Amino acid sequence: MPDLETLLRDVRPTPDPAFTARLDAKAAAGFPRRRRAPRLRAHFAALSLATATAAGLVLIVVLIGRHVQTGGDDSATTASAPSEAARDAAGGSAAAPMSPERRAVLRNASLTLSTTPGNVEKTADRAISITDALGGYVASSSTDMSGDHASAQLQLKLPTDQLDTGLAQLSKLAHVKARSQQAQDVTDQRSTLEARVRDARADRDGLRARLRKAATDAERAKLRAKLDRATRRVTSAERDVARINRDTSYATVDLAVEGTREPAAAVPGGRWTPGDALKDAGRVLEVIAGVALIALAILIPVAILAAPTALAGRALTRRRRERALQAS
Amino acid sequence: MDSERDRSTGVTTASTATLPAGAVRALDFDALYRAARDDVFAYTATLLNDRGAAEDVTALAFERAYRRRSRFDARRGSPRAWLFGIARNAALDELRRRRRAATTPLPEARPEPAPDEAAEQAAERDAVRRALRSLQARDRELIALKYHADLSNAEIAAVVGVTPSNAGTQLHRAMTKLREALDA
Repeated sequence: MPDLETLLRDVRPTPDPAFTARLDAKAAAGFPRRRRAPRLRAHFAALSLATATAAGLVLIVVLIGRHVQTGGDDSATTASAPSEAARDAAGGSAAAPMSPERRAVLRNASLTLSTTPGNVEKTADRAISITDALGGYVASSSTDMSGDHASAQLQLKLPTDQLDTGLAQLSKLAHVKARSQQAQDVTDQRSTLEARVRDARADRDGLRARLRKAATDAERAKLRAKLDRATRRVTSAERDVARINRDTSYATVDLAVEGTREPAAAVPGGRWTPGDALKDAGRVLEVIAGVALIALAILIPVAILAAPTALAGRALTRRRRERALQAS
Repeated sequence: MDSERDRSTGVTTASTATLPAGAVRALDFDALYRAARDDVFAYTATLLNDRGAAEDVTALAFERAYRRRSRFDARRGSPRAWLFGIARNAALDELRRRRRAATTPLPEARPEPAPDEAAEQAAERDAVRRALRSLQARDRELIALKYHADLSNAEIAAVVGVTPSNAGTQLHRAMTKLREALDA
């Protein structure tokens, strides 16, 4: 009897010739995929690519749009400001600056814009136009144009209820370098001043009554002197109330325009030069790098989550296969 | 392994589709296919006890191997061990799916001996087949990898995921069980 190993080799199953012929043909053809799977996979790949491309384009457009809005192109943004100012003024100036409110709040803001030296004066003029259109006024203004340096300092008074609108319009004039807002509640202070006015008036009215009833010249002279002092107190107190009302009705905006940015168009006439093309290319690359960074920021957490899941899935599959082997 | 490559016979010599240059250096898929086609079938047929399923699994294994050929890493084992690993996964997936025994008998494929020896040898082979079928799938698999696919112990170890010495031990136990089944 042959040994067991020889017998085992003798009983080795051999494939059917028809099967091997089919398999050989498949191998020779490079194992073509079945029709459904490749079609689905091809669609999936195409859809994924299209989605990713569309998302990338949208992102690029959004990023470029934001870049332009934040001061990438001064001339483009300033051009739209007056029309917006006029539009807002149509509805905005109707509001009364002295509208009585329960609370008295002092509001002020400071805004620093940077633009090219040649645009400083234009920007200052547009700021003044916006102020006028909103029903405000210019408290002070100064422009410094010395050589290459240019800057402007303006103190604008805007109706308090137009402050947010005004700041939004002013911020569109050029690149916003700094912006801050403060508010101080002076309601108690105003109430105290108003009470002082009432007291002073009551005092004055009392003196007037006593003056009418005075019997002697000496008494009348004495009362007139007192009445003059009381009248001055009333006037002073009323002036204080008027001042605080004025201060709360108008917000102060300290606007600084700095001519520190480089001119956007170096060539007269605004022609598009190879240098501009280089800059634009750099900007496009910047945006692409930004998009890639955002994509990485999305993909890395996804990968961090997917990797353990995939490993766990593989381990589970391996265990199930071993179980199937044990069970057979 | 030259003798092993001679195991598969009658393989069409048409080349498969063009492979990437790096993959060609790492893995000659065409040669691997020619050398291992019948061995993979023999292994899966013994493991699954089903000729039809073995054909499907063999075709699937080669298709998967072809798709993944660029991922082959020679540092992690021989091409045959890699291929049989893929075939094993496909076979175990089939076992998971079906969970049923063979339905198609495995026919004798060797040339018939002289008439006076035929009856005796046929009886011996039948006994071996029956004994083999009576073994558990894990033991059957090891024997198939060794004697039907002609893998070395190191390659068997790489396929089933154990150490080479452990593979030798398990194979010895499987052979002992087979002898016991034959004697029973």
